[in-house]
Amino acid sequence: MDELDHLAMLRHDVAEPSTETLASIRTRLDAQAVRPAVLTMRTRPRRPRPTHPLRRRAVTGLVAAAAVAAGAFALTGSTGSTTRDPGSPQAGAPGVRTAAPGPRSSAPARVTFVNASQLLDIASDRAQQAPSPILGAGQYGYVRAHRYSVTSIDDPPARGAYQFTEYTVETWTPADPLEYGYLRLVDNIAVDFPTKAQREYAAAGPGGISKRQVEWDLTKDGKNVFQAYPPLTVQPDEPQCSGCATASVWDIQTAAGIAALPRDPEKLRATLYRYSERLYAELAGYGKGDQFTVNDLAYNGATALLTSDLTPPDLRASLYQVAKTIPDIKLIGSLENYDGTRGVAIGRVDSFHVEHDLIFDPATLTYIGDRTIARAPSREYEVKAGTLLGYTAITTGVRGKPTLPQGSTFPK
Amino acid sequence: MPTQPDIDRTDADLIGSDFAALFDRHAIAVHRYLARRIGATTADDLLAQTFLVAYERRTGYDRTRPNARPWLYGIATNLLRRHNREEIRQFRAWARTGVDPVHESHAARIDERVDAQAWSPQLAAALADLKPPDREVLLLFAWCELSYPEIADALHIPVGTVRSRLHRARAAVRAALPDFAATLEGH
Repeated sequence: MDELDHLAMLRHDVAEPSTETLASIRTRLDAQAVRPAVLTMRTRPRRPRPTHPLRRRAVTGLVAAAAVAAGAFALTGSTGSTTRDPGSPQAGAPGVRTAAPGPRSSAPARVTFVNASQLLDIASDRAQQAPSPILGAGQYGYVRAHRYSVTSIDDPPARGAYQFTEYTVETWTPADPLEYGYLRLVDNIAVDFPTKAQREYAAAGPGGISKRQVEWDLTKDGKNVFQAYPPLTVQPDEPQCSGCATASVWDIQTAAGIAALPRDPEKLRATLYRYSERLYAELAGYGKGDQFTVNDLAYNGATALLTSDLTPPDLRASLYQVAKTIPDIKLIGSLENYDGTRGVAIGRVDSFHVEHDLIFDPATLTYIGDRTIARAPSREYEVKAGTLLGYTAITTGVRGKPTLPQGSTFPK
Repeated sequence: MPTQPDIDRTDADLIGSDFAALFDRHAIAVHRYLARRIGATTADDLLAQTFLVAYERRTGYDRTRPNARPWLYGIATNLLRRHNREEIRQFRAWARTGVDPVHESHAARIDERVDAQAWSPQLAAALADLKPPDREVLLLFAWCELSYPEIADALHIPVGTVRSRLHRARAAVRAALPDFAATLEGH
């Protein structure tokens, strides 16, 4: 237990207000004419915030919302340097943390988990029972991924350097996959570098150290199809590879691909491992020596799908059952996501000694983020053991259509 | 558009059409926060004030925010600032005597309290020593389980400020409790 757990216990058994107190206050509110009635909401425009000048530069390799949300477990290998602690508790805390008692509410009761398998079982049950959000006309499924991660710099002469960036991706997904969705990316705020040398190396590149940039894309069926803003040269993304020899689970992150995945856990496991074995064979062909095992790739694939906003509850429930069969998944216990929301986590360390954690809301067991942390020094990224390589916070909801900025363009 | 049952109405929906239901949904949680900070008697009054202020400000509520908890806790926290000295006095009394005056106000007998934990007076002293802005952030995080952005919304401060205040407050609480800090398991 840390100081937060002790604080949570402080006065935790304070008495609830009496029925008389609540009734008295309600009466006072009623006197202010708050009876259920149609109160007209006068919408006041929000005061605009000062904007920063944007450095526009060509952005290549746009990623679909699903891939970004799933990219928490993209192939990173062993990487990273520079320890930056955005406030996460010390990694790898052993044992189970019991959530502190809270006020009575209608939320599901919290459970004390004894192992990862139990958590995954309950998460599977909850996913099957949870209703899908109802999207009315003009409404979209909304996902916000706030992420800190190590990224490579691809522009010469800084190519080969790494930086820690912070970005936010918001996606609006319509009920009909043939309708346009939206993606807003606040991109590549370089917040740190593994070493001073890498910072200088990056600064010497043509773009210098990356600055904040905002971009809007139109999406369809989970893929970016059009850059609506800034109004640079319009280049639709390359279509995803499907059915090719190296097809992996990352190539089926479309609504159709996900719909085609089997829901039976045994068949789903067989599919996941078939894709993972193909990818393993492809990577082995590069002859780099150390590489991910098939189990590493299966775990990455399962978590990629679990972190995708396209994955429906029935598939999610089956994926939790499949994850139970992947070796070496451990219960991490209490862990905050990148926005500081407390959750409960499971995790697994891969062959490159990088730990990948999934963080769940402790009451509903919905996915709320993930964390990636180096458990051994990495030569590639020049980081010490314990370095945070990635951290995410996921927020979901139902929203109306977003307003694109002025100057945005649409396909004809 | 399908008609959704009440349980699915967001707080933003309720603020616009059924404010009493908003009260029913959040009153106990807000009262709990207030009572933990200042005691039940004052919490009763502040609960009423919180929702009355919220009702007065309802037309300015940002309807893109479906969850009104941060907004309500922000109003409650603002009202608590008038009772800052009383709160600190209570924490210092607890630290000095080992008896929590908030629990006394609930007329709970000392010998009936189940969780008389040895470290509570030290925690109370640490909370009393925190700067009020740091204490607000810490208790919204620890007692209301708000996230960083939610705390930022509640207190109208940047998320970075939330992080720095929370980091400072946690460090201060840890430093003030050397006895159990030494017994932390692997942290």
